[in-house]
Amino acid sequence: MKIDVKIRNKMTRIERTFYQTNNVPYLVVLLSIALNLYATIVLLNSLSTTYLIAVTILFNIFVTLFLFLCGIKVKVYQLSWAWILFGFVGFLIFRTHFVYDMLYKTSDEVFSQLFVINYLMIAVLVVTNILTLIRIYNQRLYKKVMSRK
Amino acid sequence: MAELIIKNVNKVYPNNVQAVFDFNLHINDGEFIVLVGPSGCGKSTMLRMIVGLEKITSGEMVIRDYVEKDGKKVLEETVINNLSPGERDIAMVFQNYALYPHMTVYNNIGISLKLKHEDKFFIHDKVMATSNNIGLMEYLNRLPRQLSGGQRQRVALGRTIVRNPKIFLMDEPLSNLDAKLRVKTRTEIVLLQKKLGVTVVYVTHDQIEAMTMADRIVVMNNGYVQQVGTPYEVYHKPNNMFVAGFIGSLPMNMLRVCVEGDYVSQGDRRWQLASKDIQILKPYVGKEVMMGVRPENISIHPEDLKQYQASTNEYHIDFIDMLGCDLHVRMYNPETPNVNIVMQTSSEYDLQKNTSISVAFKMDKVHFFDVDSEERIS
Repeated sequence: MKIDVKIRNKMTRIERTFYQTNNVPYLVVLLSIALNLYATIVLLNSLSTTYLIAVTILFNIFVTLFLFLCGIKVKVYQLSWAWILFGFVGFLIFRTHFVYDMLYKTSDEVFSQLFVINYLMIAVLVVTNILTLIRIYNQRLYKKVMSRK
Repeated sequence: MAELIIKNVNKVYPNNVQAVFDFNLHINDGEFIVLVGPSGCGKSTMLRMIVGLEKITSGEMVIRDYVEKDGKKVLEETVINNLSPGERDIAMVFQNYALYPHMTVYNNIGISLKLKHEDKFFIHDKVMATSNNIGLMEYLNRLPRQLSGGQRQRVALGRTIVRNPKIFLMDEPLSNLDAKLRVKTRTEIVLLQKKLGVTVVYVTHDQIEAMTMADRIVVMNNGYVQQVGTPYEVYHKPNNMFVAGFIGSLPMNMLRVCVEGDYVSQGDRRWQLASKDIQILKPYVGKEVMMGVRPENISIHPEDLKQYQASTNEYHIDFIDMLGCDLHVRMYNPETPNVNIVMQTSSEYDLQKNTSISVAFKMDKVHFFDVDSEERIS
């Protein structure tokens, strides 16, 4: 009896995702945009006035727009964009360990701040992305089961 | 579901305009009541008072419902005069649907349950069951702007059904739809009401809607209830001249006639009274009364002309409306050219404008009204 209720609840949970947007991952992506903005400000604050400031600003505008697009697509359960977000997580790891040190030559104090912000972004993005992938694959499984019935 | 009892309800606005006068009605469980009347007759005010959007000036409104107490069903009466709209457990469907434009159909239907902080699984089950009932399963992910008028109306209906209220109120819900969709949607509403067995109070100014949908019709005019009855009663036994004129797709023809024993006359025209009317009109001999005859009870059929020979007169055709299967023929008596009568007849007849024809009044189907009080003489 208890198992029946559990299965039923799980089915209902999946069914609900067909009619409701993927709100939590979307909000998390918006949060990561805010964190990225904060990281950019911290980085710009530490830079001396060179052409690198313009490049950094332009690149981060691109990152912001890209993240927003990812958020919108993830909100409507688009599988390909969930994987693209994983690619972005890879970029964040690369940026934390190589770009800051090699390109910007940040001080230890600034680096540690950027490290925390970037890894916070990585953590929330990975967790919500896994959640999104589970939901998307559950939807596919549900459709498969229903089509067999 | 529940019964609604309205006792001596009056509504006077602060500027001393009285919108509703002494309204009394007992609405039974599962009944489809239609309030009908011309614009400004007080029907929407009445509906708003039932739901609690307007305060009543005097009178009493009671909801009688069976509630479960200790596993037993007990009849409970609640006076709702001073309850807020939320506490009355009455749902209302508005003319303009009042859907949230940024929410999908799914969320629009489930919003009332969400506001009640119901469990999300319960909300989902109710929304799915309701959408299935009203045929909206395919549209759950759409926004209201992506739906047709009829579908939007069904969403508005679904939003009320999902709450499982005691009584449903509908304020001209079909007036924004085109003619074809209106016919389809009104059938859907009636079928749904019968399926769910809910109590509905429906407001319209369209008497065809009232006739086709109602279990009982309440005809209102100038804030007064003119008649309460089944569509048959209201059509065939109108209480007064207003109801006789208002109900029917073509208004009833009214002729001021003089009672002269076993016949009535207007100038040189005479109509032989039916035997039932001779007795009824005895007190009016020598006096004038209003004779009402429905357009379909005026005939040019040879058999009718023979049967109602003593009530056959010549009329001059003024105008003909061709409606496909029917003709609406406007005619006048050359002696009294200002008084027109309209006949509804089959389009098989080849009638021409500006010609004269013999028409028979089916005198066993005419109605008589007092000239002064305008009440039915019966």
